[in-house]
Amino acid sequence: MIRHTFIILLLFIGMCAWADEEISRDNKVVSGHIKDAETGEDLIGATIYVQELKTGTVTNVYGFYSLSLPPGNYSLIFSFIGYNPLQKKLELKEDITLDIELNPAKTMLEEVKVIAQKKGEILRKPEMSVAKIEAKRIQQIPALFGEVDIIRAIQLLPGVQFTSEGSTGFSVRGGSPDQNLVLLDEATVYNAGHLLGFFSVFNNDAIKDVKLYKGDIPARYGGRLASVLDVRMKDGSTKKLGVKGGIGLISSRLTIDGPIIKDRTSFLVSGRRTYADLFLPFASNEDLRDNKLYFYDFNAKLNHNFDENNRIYVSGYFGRDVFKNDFAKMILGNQTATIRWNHLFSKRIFSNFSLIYSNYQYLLGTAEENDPNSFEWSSELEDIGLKADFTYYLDANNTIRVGAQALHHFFDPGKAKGLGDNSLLDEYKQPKARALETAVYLSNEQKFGSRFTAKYGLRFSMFNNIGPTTLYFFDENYDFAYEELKKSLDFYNTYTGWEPRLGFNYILTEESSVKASYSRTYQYIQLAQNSTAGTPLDIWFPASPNVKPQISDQVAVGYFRNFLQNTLETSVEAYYKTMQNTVDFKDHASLLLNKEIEGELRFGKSWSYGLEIMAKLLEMKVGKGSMNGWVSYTYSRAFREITEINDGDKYSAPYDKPNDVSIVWNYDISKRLSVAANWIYQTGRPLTIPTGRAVIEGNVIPVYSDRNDFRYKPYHRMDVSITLRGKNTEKRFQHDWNLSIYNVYNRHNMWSLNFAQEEPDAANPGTGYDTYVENVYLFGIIPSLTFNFRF
Amino acid sequence: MKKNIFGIIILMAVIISACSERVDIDLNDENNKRLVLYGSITTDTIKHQVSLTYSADYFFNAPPQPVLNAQVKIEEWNTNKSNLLRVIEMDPSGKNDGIYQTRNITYAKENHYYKCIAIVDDPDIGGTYTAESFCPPISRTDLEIELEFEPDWGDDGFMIVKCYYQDPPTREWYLFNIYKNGILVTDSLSEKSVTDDEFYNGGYTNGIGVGYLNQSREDEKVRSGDTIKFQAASIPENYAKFIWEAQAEIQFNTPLFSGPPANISSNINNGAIGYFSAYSTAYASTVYN
Repeated sequence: MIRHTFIILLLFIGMCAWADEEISRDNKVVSGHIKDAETGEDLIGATIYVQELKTGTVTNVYGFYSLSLPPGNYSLIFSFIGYNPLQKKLELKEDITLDIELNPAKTMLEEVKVIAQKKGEILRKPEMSVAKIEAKRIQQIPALFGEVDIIRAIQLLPGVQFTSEGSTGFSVRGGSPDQNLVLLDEATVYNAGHLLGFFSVFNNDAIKDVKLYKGDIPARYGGRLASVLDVRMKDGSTKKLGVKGGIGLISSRLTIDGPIIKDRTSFLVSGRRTYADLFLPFASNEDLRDNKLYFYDFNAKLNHNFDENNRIYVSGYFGRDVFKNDFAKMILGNQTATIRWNHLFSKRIFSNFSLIYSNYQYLLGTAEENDPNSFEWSSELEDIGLKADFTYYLDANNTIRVGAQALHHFFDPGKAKGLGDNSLLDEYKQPKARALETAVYLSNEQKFGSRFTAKYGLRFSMFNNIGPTTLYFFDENYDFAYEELKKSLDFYNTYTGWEPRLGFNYILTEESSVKASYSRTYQYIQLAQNSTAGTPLDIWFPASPNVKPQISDQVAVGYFRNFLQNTLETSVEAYYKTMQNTVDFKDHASLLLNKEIEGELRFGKSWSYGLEIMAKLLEMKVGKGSMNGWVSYTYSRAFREITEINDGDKYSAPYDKPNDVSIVWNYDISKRLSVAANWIYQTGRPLTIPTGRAVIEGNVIPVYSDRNDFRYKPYHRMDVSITLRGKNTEKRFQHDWNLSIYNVYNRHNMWSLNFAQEEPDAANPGTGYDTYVENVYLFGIIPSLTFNFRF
Repeated sequence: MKKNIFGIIILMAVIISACSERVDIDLNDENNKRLVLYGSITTDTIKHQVSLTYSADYFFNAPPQPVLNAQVKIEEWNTNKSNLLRVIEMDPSGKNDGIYQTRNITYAKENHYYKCIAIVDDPDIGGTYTAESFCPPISRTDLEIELEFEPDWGDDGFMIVKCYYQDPPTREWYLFNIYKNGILVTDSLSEKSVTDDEFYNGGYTNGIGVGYLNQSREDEKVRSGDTIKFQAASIPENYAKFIWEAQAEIQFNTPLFSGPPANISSNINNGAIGYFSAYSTAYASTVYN
């Protein structure tokens, strides 16, 4: 596979070079990078518009663009949200490099004007089911505990729902959280949460760009059914040294970035640390006073421009959660590292080569050693990958992408052992597993005239299980039947999948367009998570002879209409998705430290459908200030049908919440003062609740009917924030105070619903048989104050 | 060990400041009348009991209704289930509480099979219900306990029952019970301790904790001169699973750790709830000074 892929890529490059020569006789290329004039950061998705031809392009994730045009005189407009547009006139006689620096809009009025000048990019882009949030917008959303969080921001988008109150886990279009591919600078982040998922691993100060694909996933991505969350770190300023930070009630953060060699080499380092446990010594509960509970994380990045054809990026993330008390300890976290090399084979052929490392591990055990109960338990998942991506800007109407990816997965799902000579516990090891996930893809984005654009591509993926390992096989009742040992480097099982991706965009008028898409995706690894929110101990496991890959087919159609000179974007999207080989777990499944975990799985089908409506105000002048935000409504359903679960009848998927409304609003009243609010409404999540009871040995045992057949009250919540910036906004040292209030009207939204039994009264026989229902909620009203600064 | 692990996780969860409030909800009004059978026969020489009650709506909020006038018996079969060795008749306890007990004191034999048969006379759920259980053996040599007071746990500390025992090399599932002065302290399913020896098979237990008595509770408080008796029972694997499942359904439910609620398993036919088990027991006791 790898050899064939390599040959195909060489052929492609050769063909491109030949075509390049042929086409260059007629067309000339203008290409370059678009950057922020103040920091030198590459701008992702900046627009280049050729006035004379009414065509254009956008920069890629490295800020690069390339336009192939017939020789002539052109007027190019370069623009990006929040920046002053720049117009350049040029006489195109030969291929030229044109690097552009855009200045950030300094005043709100200027910014509104900039927005108004946008030419309805969303209408022209042949992509749908995509959401992009700028870091600046995320910053404006009221934050829980004052900790700005990109995942909490995307949970406010249509089609995206949190898995449980306060959690950074998310479900996209009814899918499971493990069906989201979360990437940080191309490296997979396997557990995107800190502290049981109440904070995400992403430090907003270190993040440049966030893009979520809910469907219509480009051919260059694969491996998950529901979505791709592509998070890109900042590169660091190539212009000047900058410091940015914040001090909050439970955490603080600091980011330093700047040039090492001006305009050529830059760095960024960023760190966070929570310190809620510093207050535990004052807790009323003595048992909590000696506890340690915190997380920290670091982001670092180094970039160097060798010349206009070669750039290198080295970036990494390291995070740890630490919990310790007198009884137990638990340490867990992610690490990622990415080395990327951008190379221009010609003005038309942009390439990127990536070497990727990702690791998630945890260790837990007893605090005491040498006790009969003492033990230590660890688990690890590690990826090492290589990617090569080529973009060929054939002409103004065709952008061809081709690439290959290989990812080696190493799973060490769990090993436990006693600590010290007195420990009773033997060593217990779940078999390690290895797998190679490879893919090649080819796609083209093709314009037909000025109104119709098609995007079509094909991805071929392959998954190989590799020895050494021990395989467990099961009979028709899922009971253990026999085991098989596989030798080292034995490619003992292979799955392959063809994954077509199609998309169309037709511009109806200057203000409206219709789009449609179809995509098939394969998922070869999944998470053994049986609860709705999950825990950091949940393990990932690969497809195998017992577990077939999950397959999804999704179609979507949408209508997009802009108003108010393109400052108000509205859209309606409908989708239908079917999934094969859906994984669920048998009743009372045992998923931790279980060598025969595959015997706990049950397989079937699932499907979801929905309608997503959104109105997004990019920016509007109001009085002396401006406002932005969005309103979205989603109607969606998600079901599963698995023979051995719920008597084989269909049941609601755990994240089936039919109605979902989000309102996000930000108002910059003046240069110094901003207010923001958001309101969320969701149908209560589906629950399995008892209908009857059996009393056994004094305990009331619930008797259930259908799975997920009940819904509790709807979830709704309003958060508000106010930000007051320093008096002189022109000074180098800038600061602001942010007061956020989460759940401002103190609604007791359900975290879990408990069916419990009264304690018996020893003096009164026959008591203790009363039962009651308890709504367990996590957060009442939560104010938080944060001081932010930068210079 | 998995229990220890979940204990650690739950400690973490305690730190999360969850609040709760009682609420009213409407449950589906279905026909919830089914037979609930729960009982056992053990290697102890006693009168063994089987309880027959009716299940009810979840908010029935009263002691379970007993099943009266049933005919209950236990058959004893040899190791390979080829010969019926005897039939042990059971009679109502005489208290109209749905408890049926063996007519005479008797005991189960290790490695034999036992089948409980209950013939229920009821217009809705009447019929013959059966359940079968193997009686696994237990090693009775070298079982000892000692008590250790842990003052830092809870408000008044915990008394830990530590067990010394040579686990045999075969795979076992154990049920542990604690008696104080002859009275069963672990008298509900939620208080039972059930474990398997997967992580220490064939090892010497060397003082592992098998019982934790909360000294804030009067029925568990251990005073000088009290006799603490420890029962170790070797139980069938499926009976261990039944107790684990029941405990999972009883305990606090959170979106972090709890899987979807589900009905507990049963080894009784005809849709009855509960479990009939045979098991062998071993004892050790100590006097606290």
